[in-house]
Parts: sequence; structure tokens; C-alpha cells
Amino acid sequence: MSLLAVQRGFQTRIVEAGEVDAAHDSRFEAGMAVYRNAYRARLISCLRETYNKTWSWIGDDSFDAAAAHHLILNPPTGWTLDDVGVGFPETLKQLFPDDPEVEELAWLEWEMQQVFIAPDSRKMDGAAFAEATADFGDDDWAEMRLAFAPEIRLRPIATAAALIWEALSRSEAPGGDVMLPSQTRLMIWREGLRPCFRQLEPPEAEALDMMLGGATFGSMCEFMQDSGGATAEMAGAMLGRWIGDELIAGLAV
Amino acid sequence: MSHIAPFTGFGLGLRREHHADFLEHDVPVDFVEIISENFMVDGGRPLHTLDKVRERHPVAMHGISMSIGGAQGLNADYLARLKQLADRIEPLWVSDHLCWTGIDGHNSHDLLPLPYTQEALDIVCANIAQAQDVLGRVMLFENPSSYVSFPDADMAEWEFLAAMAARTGCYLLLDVNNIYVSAINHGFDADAFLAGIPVDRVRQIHLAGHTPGDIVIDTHDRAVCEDVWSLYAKACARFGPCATMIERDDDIPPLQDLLDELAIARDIAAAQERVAA
Repeated sequence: MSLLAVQRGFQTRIVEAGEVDAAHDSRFEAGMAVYRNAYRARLISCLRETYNKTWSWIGDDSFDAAAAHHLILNPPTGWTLDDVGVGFPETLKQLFPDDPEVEELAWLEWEMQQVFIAPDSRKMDGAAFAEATADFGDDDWAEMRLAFAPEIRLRPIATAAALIWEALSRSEAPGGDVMLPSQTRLMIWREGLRPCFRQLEPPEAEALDMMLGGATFGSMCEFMQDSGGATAEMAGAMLGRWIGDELIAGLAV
Repeated sequence: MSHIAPFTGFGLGLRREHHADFLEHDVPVDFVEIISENFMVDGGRPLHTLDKVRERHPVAMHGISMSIGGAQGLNADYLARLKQLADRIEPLWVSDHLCWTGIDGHNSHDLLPLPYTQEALDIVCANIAQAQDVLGRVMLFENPSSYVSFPDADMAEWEFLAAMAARTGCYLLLDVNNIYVSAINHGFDADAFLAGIPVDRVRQIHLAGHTPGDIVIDTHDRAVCEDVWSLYAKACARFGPCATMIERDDDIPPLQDLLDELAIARDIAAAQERVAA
């Protein structure tokens, strides 16, 4: 039998937990069981580690069932074990259609880890920003566009996934409503080496969305004024926070 | 490209639980071994940590995903990422295991056993040649623990390793615990294994704990046992001074416990050196 045939047969018996093969003795079957058990245990353990808070939220049985389901539909293909977690939030979305916080919490966990190992990028600090804008006139401010740190993730959320995360991090039982009063956005980024997240409130959520999409600072200020009477000072304070949080890479050319 | 100078220190694996120890203290080890894949990332804290550790210690890169025995060849993307890391940290050497990890695009993330046949040897040697060519350096390959063997094998594991090293110029990472585990599981003589390994090809030795049972399992979750220490003494006697490290991947104790265990390895190696002198 060719090596390729041996390896295909071996892999099938690990993944699919096939019947005992009469061609082999009990010792061989016992050895195969070690590989079979290790395969399943290793992958589920990886998912438990990657999605630790989601695991805490839905419990052992539900999590392991979802993990097994995910691994059947998405057998690992990447060279890094971490990639076993790719697509797990989508799997959870299908399995928990009435519990949207499960998918949102899993998304938060996955993306926090992706931001953790994202490429290092240069950030613009307050001094650099002040220097770059020192000669700005009113028109320059109105036309200013920002280049953001490439690792930033921003998505709509409908649930208190961020609060659930924080409570679980403190080993506390999450309280309050699972659903938010209205949909908003959740942002993930990195300050130095530390991944961070923040649930944004209107109008910052929309304003950041606009600026990430390439809008000018002037159009963002107009939007804020139209949507709630925010002043230029408030827009400036928001911009200052973005700089302090290390969201800004520079001024867009 | 064709030679790795002997390095005779004692080291430990760099595990996340001990990162702070290595960053904040001068840990008394001669080298550190990393799991290559843990640092084959784009940026962030893992590479920051590794760069800092590298400033203080020589680093050996040890991989688990090359799948050198894969019948369908190697993953070019993987090799490129591995080379990128090796070029960044200039390691003592780059090692992986004599095994395969998956086929047809599937990855089991396990070190699966090879049948020690002539065909497998040809495939492994071709794959090693490709890997060494891409990396621009000769590699080390480790004897794995295994739980099944194949009746149509043409040669013993040590004969396979010796032939592989002779044909490709690669070096060997001798895992003494794996020899012990496989010797029990397959009923071969561990001393015969040591005697079959060419002395001039061994550049590193691994030590680890295992879980006893009807089938002994290489779990790396406990201290090295007496039988493995005894086998290590025999390895020291045969191969002479050689870079030695203790692998611990589960139920990881405080760093000092591993340093204490490493001191045992130092004592055994020193005793064998005195005997040889």
C-alpha cells in the first residue's frame, strides 16, 4: 500500500471514528484510539481556550456540542491550531438563533485575539497630531481626513456582549438585560500591546463609522450637529480621545 | 547551510506561563526553545516577548506543523512563514518531528506515525531537501512517540533516522522520553535504538514526562521519570555533551521546579563526562 493510501486511511479512522478493523490486532486498535481521542480532545480544548468566555456563558455541554458540530463542518486545514476557531461565531449564530449574544460574544473573543497578534503599526500621538495640524486654517480642519490604525474592528451589536465579557472577566455573573435598548457599535483596537474594546454610544458610533469610511472631519461635525446638537468642542474632545486611545495612524493624504 | 556546530547547554521551553519570568529575571538557562508556530504571527505581544528573550538567550526553534512525512509534499506558505521567523531571530537551529500531521488539506494537529518503509524514506528525504533549501539551513528532526506501528515496515525507526540523516545531511533531535515511550509501546530495545543513532548527527536532546498505562502516552504533563533519567545517562555516555532541554506543555509548574529538574540533567551529563574523561 502506498504511503498516500496509508495516510488517507489513517486519517479517516481518526476523524470518523470508524469500526474496528479486523485486519489489525487489539494493540493496533488501542493505539488508534489514542490518536482518535487526542484529535477530538485537542481541537475542542483549543476552542474552549479561544472562546473561553463563550464557553462559560453557554456551559460545558452546549459548548462541546457546538464545537463538535463546528469541527465536523469545518475540519481544520490551517497549519496553526489557532485557525480551528475560524468561523466559530458563525457556527454559533446558526446554532443559537434566539440568543444573539452568543455569536456577538464569540466574535468579540475571536477578534480580540486577532488584534492581539495583528501587525504592529505606527500611531499618531497628541504631540505629532498637534505638529501636523499647527498651521491648519478652518478649511484645512473641515477637509481633514484621518488614517486609522489598521487593526481596528467595528461592528454593529444588538446585545450586551461587551458587558457579559467584562462580568465574566471578573468571575461575576452577568446581570441586566441581554439585549441593548437599541443597536450600537462595538470597537476593538490595540493600545501598545494590549487589545481593548469599547461599546460606542451615539453619535460617536456613527461619527467613527463615517471617518473610517473616509469622510472629512467637517462632514462628521455637520452630522453630529444635525443628529443631536453636538458642538465643535464635543467633536474635538472625541477626536482627542481617539488620539489618546491610539486609534489614529496619521492624517490621510 | 550544511553544518550546525555543537552547542552544549541546558535549556527550557518558553511557555506563556513563564514569559514574565524570562522578561523580568535573568533565568539561568543556556538556551530557550520555542514552539515555532506560536510566534509565526504578524505582530503584537508574542513577537515582542520573543525579541526580548532573544536579547538574553540563544533560541532554538521547534516546530510541530511541517509534516515532513506528508505524502503530498510540504506547505509552501508554512515554509515561507517559518523562514521569516528564523531570519528574524537567528536561532541556534530549526527542528521539527519525523511525522505527518494530515493529508488532503486536513490538519489533525497531531504528530502521526510513519510506516518505516523505503517509500516513506524517499518521501521524507525529498521533503527535508525542500525544507532545508527554502530555509537555507540544515534542520534537526525529532524521533516521535508513537502508539501504533505498521507491519509492513522495512526498517526499525533508528535505521530510518540514520538513513534519513545520511541522505539529507540533517541532524537529529533525540527525544529520550519518546524513545522510552515507543520502546514500551512497540516492544523494542531502547538501548538498541541509541546504538543505532549516528553519534555525529545528534545536536539536541529532549526530556519530558509521560503517562504510564497499557499504552504509554507522551503527555509532557509531569516530571521526568527515573527510567527516562537512566536512559538519558546512557544517551550522554554515547553522544557526549549535547544541548539538553526539558519539555513541559501541560500542568505547567513554577519555573523554579523546571530549573530544579534541569539541574538533574546537568548532574547526569556532568557525571557521564567525568566517566568519559
